[in-house]
Amino acid sequence: MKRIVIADDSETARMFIRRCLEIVGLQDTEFVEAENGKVALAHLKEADTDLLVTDLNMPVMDGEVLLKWVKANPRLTVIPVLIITSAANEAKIQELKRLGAYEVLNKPISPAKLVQALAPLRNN
Amino acid sequence: MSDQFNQAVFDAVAETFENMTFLEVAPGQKDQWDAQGAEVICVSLLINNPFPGEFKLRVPVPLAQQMAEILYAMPAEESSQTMLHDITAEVLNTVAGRVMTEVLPEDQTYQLGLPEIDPLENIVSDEISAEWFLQVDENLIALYYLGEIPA
Repeated sequence: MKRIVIADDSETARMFIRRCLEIVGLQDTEFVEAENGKVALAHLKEADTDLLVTDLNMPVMDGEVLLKWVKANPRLTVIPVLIITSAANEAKIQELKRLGAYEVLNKPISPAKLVQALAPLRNN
Repeated sequence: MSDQFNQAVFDAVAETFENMTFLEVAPGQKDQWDAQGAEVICVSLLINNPFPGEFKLRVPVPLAQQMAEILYAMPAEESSQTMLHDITAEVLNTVAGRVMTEVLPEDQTYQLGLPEIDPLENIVSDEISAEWFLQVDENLIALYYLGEIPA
């Protein structure tokens, strides 16, 4: 993967996600960080992106609205959206997948969880 | 307080600290907290749905600095107050989500607010529905829950 956009209003969360992604072998990837969905959407339009990792609960534009914007945009809709959140149970996970989320992981994440979640994408 | 809620909170705190910082969590005592006397960082987070509630977390500054040192691989004295607040807020955000996922039925969605820095204040004791004092490495943290306790 050449470019990944990470959206989370917590700098700590963004750093932790980036570090986990580097640990699972993506140390040569360009990581672009955004503190909310609106900024993330702008970054997605700037350049080709292989993966969007987003939190749900963010100010200005939350992750669910960002997911809807991405899936409604013909140029962005192919980007897999991995949601990493503290606020998802089975009902929410199914709802997000119906909206087009590639996968939903609950915080706290770990490299092991990411390896498993990203395996289908990396195998392709 | 239900045993399930109590256990869910302990498990969520332990999983969050151990996963993010490799720090072990053990039960602590209120009198230890009262005696600790360290400067603390206070954050709160509202539960908006399916019932109103609020978590309040108190973390001693030395523990927040220790977490910054681990997470950001930098000397503790170089960590900024903004960074310490952000780390503490992210811990509470993660803990609250884990607890709600654990105690609510699978088909019940929920909505959390955004974590906020609290002014340092004494919480009125009759507002507290539940409280936990937990040992994290060499420091004690306090977690309070205000509002309706899920059955």
